[in-house]
Amino acid sequence: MKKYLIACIACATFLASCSKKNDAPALQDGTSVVITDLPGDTTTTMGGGGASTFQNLYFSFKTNGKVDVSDEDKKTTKWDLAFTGPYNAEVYVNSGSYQYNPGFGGPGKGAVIIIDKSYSQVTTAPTDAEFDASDFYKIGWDNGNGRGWFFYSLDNHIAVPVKNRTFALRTADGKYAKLELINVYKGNPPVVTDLFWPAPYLTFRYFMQADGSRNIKTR
Amino acid sequence: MLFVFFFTYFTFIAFSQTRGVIKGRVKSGGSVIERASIIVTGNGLKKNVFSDEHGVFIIPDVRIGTYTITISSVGYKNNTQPLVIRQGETKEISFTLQPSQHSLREVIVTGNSLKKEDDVIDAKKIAQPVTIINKRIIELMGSRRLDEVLREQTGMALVSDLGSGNRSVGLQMQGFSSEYITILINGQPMTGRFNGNFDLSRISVSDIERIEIVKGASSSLYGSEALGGVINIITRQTVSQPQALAAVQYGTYNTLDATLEGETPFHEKKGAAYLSANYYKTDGFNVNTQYLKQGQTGPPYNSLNLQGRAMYKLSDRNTLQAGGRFGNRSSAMTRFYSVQQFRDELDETDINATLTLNSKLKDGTRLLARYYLTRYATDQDVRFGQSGKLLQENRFAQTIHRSELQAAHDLLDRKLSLIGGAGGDYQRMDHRKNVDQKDMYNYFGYVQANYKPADRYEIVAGIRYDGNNIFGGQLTPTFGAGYHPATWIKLQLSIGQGFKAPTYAQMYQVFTNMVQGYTVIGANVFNQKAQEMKNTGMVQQLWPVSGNIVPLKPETSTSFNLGATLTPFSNLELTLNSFYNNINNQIFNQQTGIMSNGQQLYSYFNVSRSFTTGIESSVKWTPFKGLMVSAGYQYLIAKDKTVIDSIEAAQGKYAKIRADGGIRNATASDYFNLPNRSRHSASLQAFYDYRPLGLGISLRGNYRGKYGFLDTDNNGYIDPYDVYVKGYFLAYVSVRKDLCKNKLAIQLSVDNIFNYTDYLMPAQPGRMIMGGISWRFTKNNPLLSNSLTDTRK
Repeated sequence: MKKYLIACIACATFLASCSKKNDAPALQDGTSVVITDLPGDTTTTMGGGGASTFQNLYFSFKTNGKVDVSDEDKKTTKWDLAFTGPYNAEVYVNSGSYQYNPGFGGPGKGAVIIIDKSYSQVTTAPTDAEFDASDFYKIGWDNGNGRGWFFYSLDNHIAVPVKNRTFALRTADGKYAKLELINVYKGNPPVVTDLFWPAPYLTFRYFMQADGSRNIKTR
Repeated sequence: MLFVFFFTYFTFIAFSQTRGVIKGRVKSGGSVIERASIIVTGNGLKKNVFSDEHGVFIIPDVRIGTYTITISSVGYKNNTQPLVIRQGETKEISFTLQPSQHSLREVIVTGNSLKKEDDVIDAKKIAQPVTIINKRIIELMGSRRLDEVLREQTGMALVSDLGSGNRSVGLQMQGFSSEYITILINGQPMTGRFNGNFDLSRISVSDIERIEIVKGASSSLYGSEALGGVINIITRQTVSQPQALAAVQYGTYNTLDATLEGETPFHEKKGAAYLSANYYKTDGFNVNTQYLKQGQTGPPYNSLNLQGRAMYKLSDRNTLQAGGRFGNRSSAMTRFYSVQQFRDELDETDINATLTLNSKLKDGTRLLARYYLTRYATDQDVRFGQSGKLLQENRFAQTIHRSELQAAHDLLDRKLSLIGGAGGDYQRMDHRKNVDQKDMYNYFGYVQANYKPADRYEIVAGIRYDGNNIFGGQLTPTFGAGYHPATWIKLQLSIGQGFKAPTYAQMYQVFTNMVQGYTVIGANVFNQKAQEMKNTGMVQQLWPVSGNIVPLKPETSTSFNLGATLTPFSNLELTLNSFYNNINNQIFNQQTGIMSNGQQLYSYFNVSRSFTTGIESSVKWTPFKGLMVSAGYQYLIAKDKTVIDSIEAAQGKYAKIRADGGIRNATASDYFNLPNRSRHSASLQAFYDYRPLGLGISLRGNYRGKYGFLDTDNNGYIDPYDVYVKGYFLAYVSVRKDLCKNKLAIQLSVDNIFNYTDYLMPAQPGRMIMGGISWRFTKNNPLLSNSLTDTRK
């Protein structure tokens, strides 16, 4: 009887000790900039009005933060990323050459290339020729064609970030960078368990090589 | 000798030279005893039969020799005596059983434990495997709500359908999700599902007499939609004396469960009435405290369940019965992930009413005519806390009027028994937002024959026709066979079919999700509605796949069960059952285009072909009276054949996997199971019911192996790189003591003893400690409810 009791207590202790923490893996690598829970347009929801009602969110790699961009400022290099569309989940890099880019007609030299590797494995940016040849303009929903940063789960109706996918960027100013878009849900939960989990609260990390070289290695 | 025998000997026409027949009648006082157990052993034979409603039993074709016959019935002393069968002899024996000295403490309410007043379908006559959970088991579990009882059964799991919101929870059985499992109350279908999920926590167990669980497609008796199985809730059946009960339980999460019930026979026991009221409330719970700063993952609610039943014997042959149930629930659940508090409110009401005329004709035919009405109405919405902005709305009311005529008749010396019935219903669905609702008429007829030509063989065959005004009709056959190669082995086979008509929403509804913005158009109206939406500029692009949309066909299932029951000793029962169920034409949604707001446009297709297969096994051991130990295990494979084919062919959309090292070709072993399906699940239960001290203890545990939660790489199935819910073990204990001549009962129960929670299981509460007390008001000493093992099929 005593043996059983001890076994039970051991069992209980074991079970109690493995009460889990559902933290996301550490993002900070010492060189990259990690942005967590940057609120997008959190007052709008889909439905009635449609996509246009989500206010764009602009972000600068120079200030490492959100920037206010007026309509006139759109055609400047004041911003690097624009989070647009439903839940601010469709991301543009400031480029003057694509008609739906908010910076269309401006000086932005932005371009994007998808690299199906983990963030730390991407160490060298593609060449300008490769960036110029890219036909990928908007980092958004991946409907199965491999071009986007999140899947939409039909089982749970949530956005699921694509693992091991990194975006090599040429910024508005022509510098080289890499970007990993990590989450759109508040708190960067590894798994969303609620249809109404607050969104958009953007979590992403990036590294921009300030010296203008294509070395985007991070540790 | 306390008992008295009356022997009468007859010489009868012999069946054969070396065989005889045993016939008898069991009585006590002036009345016959039905369902007394008669066991005849000796001469290599072990035979167990039961007496019928006239107290009569017959054992044909017994070899000549010496036997021991034991007659028993709960509440009576066993009557054992030697018996000699001579050549060609029919032995007719009349037994009188004496009430047991302890019977007032031990008796069940009635000898016929599986009797039903408002259904002629006997659980013993169903071809598919049947599990029965009786009232004493439920009492000793200390459970309050129906989901709590069922989640502990082997192979049954409660599954959250998070895609439909945190309130959407359903029961899974043999790998079938909730939408394929029919929930019946006294044989009549209950309604009120949220995206196919029937939330069993809305049902109180306080007035449940027993639960009958049928696994596998059993449509032929219970309706076409029972593709995966049936849960039949049988409420209080028999009233023997005036009594009343007051019971209350209180504990963790401020959970309160209060019951008041009263029952009395009247008019010289020609009539009886029963009334019960149950109030339940709970504060809900939060198992995601890391992210959900305030609020609940499991909703708080309060619920009132009223149940009434009355019967009156119009004559010796005719009984009129009326039953009614009212249930409501209101719930306000807040959730606050440190920003944007929102509030999810639900109000639902549920009414079930029946009127039944039960007749026993002179020739033994049982006839039953009934009318059933059920209505379920729900009003749920989710809003932002501050602004009150609406995020989701779910309002509908569903009404079913149904009438049915059933008949049962035994032929050929009870070797052949027939059950048949016919009926129809009218269903109406009111969505407050949609005006173009369609009503539906269903009609059905069924017949089943159970034929037992000899002791060793039994055959069940049945067929059902279901029709409705939208789809026309469909036949669903069922077949079963039983064989005893030896007295302690029983082999059983059953094959059944079922079909499920598409829902109104899948056919006709146009629905836009308020939060995500996607739109779903019913397949039968897709072409027209999509064109209209395109003309008004709401649709940006229709994909080529939208050209393939055709009106939906019903989903169909076929299920096979092959099992063996071994009883090597009278106190040990082993069962092994293998099952295979396939579902064809399964209806799934697929994206068919893009809306102007950038979101998806969906419709429905008959695409998927999935199957569930596996093995269930159980051991039940009753080392001595009052102790019952049982263990069960289920191995389950539930997969989609389209996915398997695509992986094998190394092409198509399922052929690739996003592994940690990059994308690679999938192999067959990468496919785990359908989401929410564990491969392994097990349960272990011990019930100790020591009647002399009125002490009842139950110690239970169940294990559920890991299961897929979310496909993170969008390849359409659960592979090793996806999100899983870890395997877990939950333990439960409950102690109950009956005091003051069984008038007073106190109970302490602990559910989930080790407080195991996982934020991926938002509906699984942590440790719950509940204390309860009940008092039974009655003139006589009250009887405890049925014994533990009274669950024979």
